[in-house]
Amino acid sequence: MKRFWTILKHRPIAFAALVVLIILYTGMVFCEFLAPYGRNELFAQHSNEPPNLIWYSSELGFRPQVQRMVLINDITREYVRVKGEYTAVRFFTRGPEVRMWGLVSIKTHLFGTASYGGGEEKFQPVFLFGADNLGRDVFSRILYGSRISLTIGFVGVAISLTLALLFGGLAGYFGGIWDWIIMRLCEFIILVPGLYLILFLRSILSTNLDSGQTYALITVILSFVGWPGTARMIRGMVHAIKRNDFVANAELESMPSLVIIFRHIVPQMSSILVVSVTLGVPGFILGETILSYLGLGIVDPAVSWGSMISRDATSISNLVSFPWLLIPGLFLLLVTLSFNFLGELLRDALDPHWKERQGG
Amino acid sequence: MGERGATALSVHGLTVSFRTGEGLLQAVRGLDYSVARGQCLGIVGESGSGKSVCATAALGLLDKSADVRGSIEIDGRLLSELTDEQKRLLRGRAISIIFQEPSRSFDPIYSIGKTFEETIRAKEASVSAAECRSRAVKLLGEVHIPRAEERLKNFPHQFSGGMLQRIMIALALANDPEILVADEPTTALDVTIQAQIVGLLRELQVKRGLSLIFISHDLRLVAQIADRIMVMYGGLVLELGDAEEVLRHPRSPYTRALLDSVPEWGSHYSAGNLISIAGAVPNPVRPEPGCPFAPRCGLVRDECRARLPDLLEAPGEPAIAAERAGESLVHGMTLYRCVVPGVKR
Amino acid sequence: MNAILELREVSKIYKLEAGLFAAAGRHVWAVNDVSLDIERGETYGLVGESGSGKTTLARTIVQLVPHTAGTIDYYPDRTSQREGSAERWRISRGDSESLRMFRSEVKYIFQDPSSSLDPRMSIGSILTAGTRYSPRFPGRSEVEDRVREVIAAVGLREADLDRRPSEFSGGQRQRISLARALIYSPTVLICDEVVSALDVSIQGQILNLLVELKHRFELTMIFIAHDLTVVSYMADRIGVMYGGSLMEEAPSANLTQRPLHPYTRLLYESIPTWNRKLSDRVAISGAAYVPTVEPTGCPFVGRCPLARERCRVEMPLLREIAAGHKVACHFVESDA
Repeated sequence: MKRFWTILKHRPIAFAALVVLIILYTGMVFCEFLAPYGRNELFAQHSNEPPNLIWYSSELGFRPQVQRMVLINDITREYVRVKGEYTAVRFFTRGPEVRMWGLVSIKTHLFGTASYGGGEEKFQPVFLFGADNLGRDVFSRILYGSRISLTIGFVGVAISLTLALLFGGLAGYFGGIWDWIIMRLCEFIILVPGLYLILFLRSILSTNLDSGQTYALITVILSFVGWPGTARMIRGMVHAIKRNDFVANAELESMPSLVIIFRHIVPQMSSILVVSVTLGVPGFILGETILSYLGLGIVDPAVSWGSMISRDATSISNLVSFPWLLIPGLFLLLVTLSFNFLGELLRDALDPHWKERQGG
Repeated sequence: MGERGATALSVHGLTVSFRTGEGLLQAVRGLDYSVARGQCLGIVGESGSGKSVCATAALGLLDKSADVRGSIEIDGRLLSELTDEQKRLLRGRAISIIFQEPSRSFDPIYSIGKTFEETIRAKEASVSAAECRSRAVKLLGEVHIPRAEERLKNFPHQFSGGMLQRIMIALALANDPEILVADEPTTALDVTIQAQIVGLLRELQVKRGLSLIFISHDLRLVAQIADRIMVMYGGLVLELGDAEEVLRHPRSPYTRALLDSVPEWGSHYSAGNLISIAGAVPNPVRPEPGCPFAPRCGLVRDECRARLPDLLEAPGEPAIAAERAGESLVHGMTLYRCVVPGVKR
Repeated sequence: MNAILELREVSKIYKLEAGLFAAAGRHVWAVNDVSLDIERGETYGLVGESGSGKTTLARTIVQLVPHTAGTIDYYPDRTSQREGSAERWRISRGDSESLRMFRSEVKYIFQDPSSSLDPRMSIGSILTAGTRYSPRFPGRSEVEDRVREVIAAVGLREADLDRRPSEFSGGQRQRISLARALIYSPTVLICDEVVSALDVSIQGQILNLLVELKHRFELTMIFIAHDLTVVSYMADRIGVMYGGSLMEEAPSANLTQRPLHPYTRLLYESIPTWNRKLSDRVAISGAAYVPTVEPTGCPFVGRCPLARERCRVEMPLLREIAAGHKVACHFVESDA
C-alpha cells in the first residue's frame, strides 16, 4: 500500500487519472443533485442549442451567466447570441424535482438559472455542453448516463472474474480431464470473434425489454464473452502456485480441495487480479458503448454515453453542425485512459519484483 | 597486454554497495585480496557474506545500481581506467566465470555448438564456423565430454547437470583466460558429480596454468582445491591463510564455528549435540558496528561490538597494515580479524 | 519386530502425458520394488542423490503421490503390537477416512523454507489452518493450548504468531514448519532435506532441535538427505537409494565404517573431508541411471567398477550380509 503512494508521487499522469476517476465517480453518485435538469427533460425551444455559458458580460460583470440565443435558421438550426440578454447562473437553485438514488426527493440542484419554473417563454436554461435535438441538456444526460456507463464495468468484471476464477481454478488445480474440457470450452469461446458473439447473443434475445433488464442482459453477455481469457491466465497461475510446498502441506492436512483453491491459492494472485479488474473495466464500458451505438444496448428513456453517441453523433453533418454532441465520447476516452493509467500504477505497486530506480 | 607479473588479480579496498528500497545494502565492506598466477584462492562464506559479489565485481558484471569502490587490477591493468568496450573484451580473455546453476546458464534454444560459436566470435569476430567447431571439440575433450563432435548438435536439455557444468567450464575457457572464477559451481550438483568437477578444475588449473577463484559455502570442499582460503562474513574478511592451516588451526571464532557446524564424519547424535551457533547471518542492509560475528560469537567481549577489529597476522602480533592482505601470495602467512589474539581451540 | 511402517515392493511409475501427436506415452520409473521397515522410535536415514527416488518414496508414504504397486502398512498402536494382535492400516488413496487419520499421525516437513509456508497468512493461522479438518481437535481451546506448547518447543515466541513468514529467516521458517507438524501430536515425522536449504551455521541449530524434539515427543523419524555426513549423524539406520532401488541398508555406524555396496563406497569417497584429498581416481562416471527406460537389472550398472553381464539383466536382491546389514549386489560377499 505504501508502495502505491510512493509510486503515485512519481507519476503525475497516474495521479491525474486517479483524480479524474474520483471526480467522475463522485459525479455519478450525486448526479441528481449535480445535474441542473432531469434526464429526459425537454426544452423544445432550445433544440440543438450550443453551449451557452459565458463568464463575462458588460451587464453582469465577471460571473457565470447565460446569454440568450435565438434560432435564426430553422433548417440548419443555427443560433446567434442576443446582445444584452443575460441571465445569471446561481448556485443551489431550484430545479426539477428528482429523487436521489430513487429514495429522497430534492428540488435543489447545485447550479442552474434562477428562473426555473417561470414558464416556457421566459425560461433560460443553462447548457454547459449544449442541447440535443430534443432540447435536452447534454451535461445532465452525461451525468445520468454515467450511472450506467461507469458501473457496467464493475458489475461486468465481477461476473466475469467469478466465472474465470471458478473455471480457471478448477482446471488448474485438478488438471487431467477437467483441465482439458474447460480449456477447450475457453478456446471455443475465444475463437469466435468477440464483437460478433456479442451481437449475435444480443440480437437473438428479445428487444422488448425495459432498461433495467437490458442493463442486466448486456452485462451478462459481455461477461460471458470476457471470462475465458482471464480463466486461461488464472489456470496457468494456479498451476504454478500449486507447485509450492505449502499447497502440498494443505493437502496433507486434509483440507478440502475447494478450500485449498480459494483460500490458499487464489489469494496469492490477488495483485494480478486487482490489476486485471482495473484494466478490464474500460473494456466493458466500451462494450456497452458499442452495443448501444449499434442500437442493441441502452435505449430511451434510459441513457448511457453509448446511447447518446448512438443517437446524436452518427452523422457527419450532425457532428459538423453540433460538435458538442460528441462530448460523451470525450468522457469515454477520459475514463478509459484513466483506468489504464491507474491499472499500470497498481500493477507496478503490487509487483514484488518492480524496482524503484532512484537516480542513475 | 603488459608483461606477465606474478599477480593475476589484485583487489584493494573493495567496497560494493547497492541502493535498495530498504536502504543501502553493503555487500562488501572493504576487502583486499590477490591471486597469484597459477594459484587457487578459495572464498568461503554463507549467504550475505559478500563472497560472490567480491568476485563478480572483478568482472564488471554488477548492475549500474551498484556502487563499486576500490581498485581492481587484472593482469596489471586497472579496471577503472578501462572503457566499457575494453572491459567487455577483457571478460573471457583475461578473466572468465562459471556459475552455480548449469541448467540456467545456457540459452535453451541454442545448440551447444552454436553457443560455442557465439562465445568465440564475441571476442574474435572473424573465426570461421569450422574453426569454431574444431576448437569446441578440443575444449570438450579437455573437460572429458565423450563423443564431442556428435554432441555439439545437442541442446542443453539433453545433458545432465554434471555434463552441463563441464561444458560451462569449456565455454569459460574458450577464449583462453588467465583467471577463472567458479561461483558455487557444485552446489546444485550431486555429491559424486561434485567430486568430479573439483577434480576437473584442479586438472585444468595445472594443465593451463590458470589462476582459480573458487567460491563456496563448504569449507571442506574448498580445502580440496584451494591453496589459500579467505573466509568472509558480513562483507568482511575474517580469516585468510593457507588451506590446510585454516582448516586445521582456525584462528577466527567464525571459522571455528563453521567447522563445528557440520557434524564430524562418523559422529552420531547419541554421543552428543552438535556445537551450533545461535542466531542468524547478519542483514547486509543494516550492518552493526564492530565485528559482524559479535552477536553470535562465543568469545565475544565488549570491544568486539564497539569497533571493527583489525586484521592481525598470526600468531597474534599487533595489527599489521591491511595492505599486507593484498599479498595473499605469501604462503605461510595467516591473517585473521579478531580482538582476541591467537584464539585457538 | 517393532515396525511402525512396513513398505513391501513399493513402486511408483509416472506416466508422462503424451501430446495429441506423440507416438506413445513415456514412463518414468521413479521407485522400483522398494521394501523396508521403519522401527518404532528409530530415526531412519534415507540417502541418495537426485533421481534416486528417495523423495518420491517418502511422498508415497503420505500418499502425496499414490504408489502404483506394492503395499504400505502402518501400525498405530504400540501396545497391541506387543501383544501380537497388531492393528494394521493399509495406506492408499482409496480409503479416505483412514488416510485422514493416518495423515494426522505421520507428518511431512518440506525442504524449501520459502515455499512451505503460505506467504499471505500469519504464523498463527498457518499453524491452525488444518486443525478443523483433523480428527485430533474437537474444540478451539485445545488448539490454542497446543499452539503455545508447540511454539515453545521449537524455540519461537508467542509474539511471532502475528507475524508473516517473510519476516523470518530460513532457519526460523523451518522451525515454524516443525511446529505446524507437531500440533497434531504425530507419531512419525518425515524430514525431507530439511536443512539442505539453510546456511551452514544454521544447520546445526536445526539438527539439534530435531534431536531434542525426537526425544521430547517420542517421535519416529525418517530423515532424508543427500549429504551422507549429516545423515550418518542423525540416523540410527540408513538406507541408501540409487535409481529408484534400495542398494544398502545398515545401522549408521556400520555403514560409515564398512560401506559394502559399490555405490555407497562411491558416495563415501566423494565426501570432502579435511584429512584426505579427494581421490583423483574418482572416475568420470559412465552411464548414469536413466529413469525413462524400463529397469532390468541393477540401476548402478553403468557406473559400477564391479559390473558384469549378470548385472545388466538380473536385479540383485537385498540380502542380509552381516547382522542388520543388507546389500543389493551380486558381488558383495560378507567378509567375516
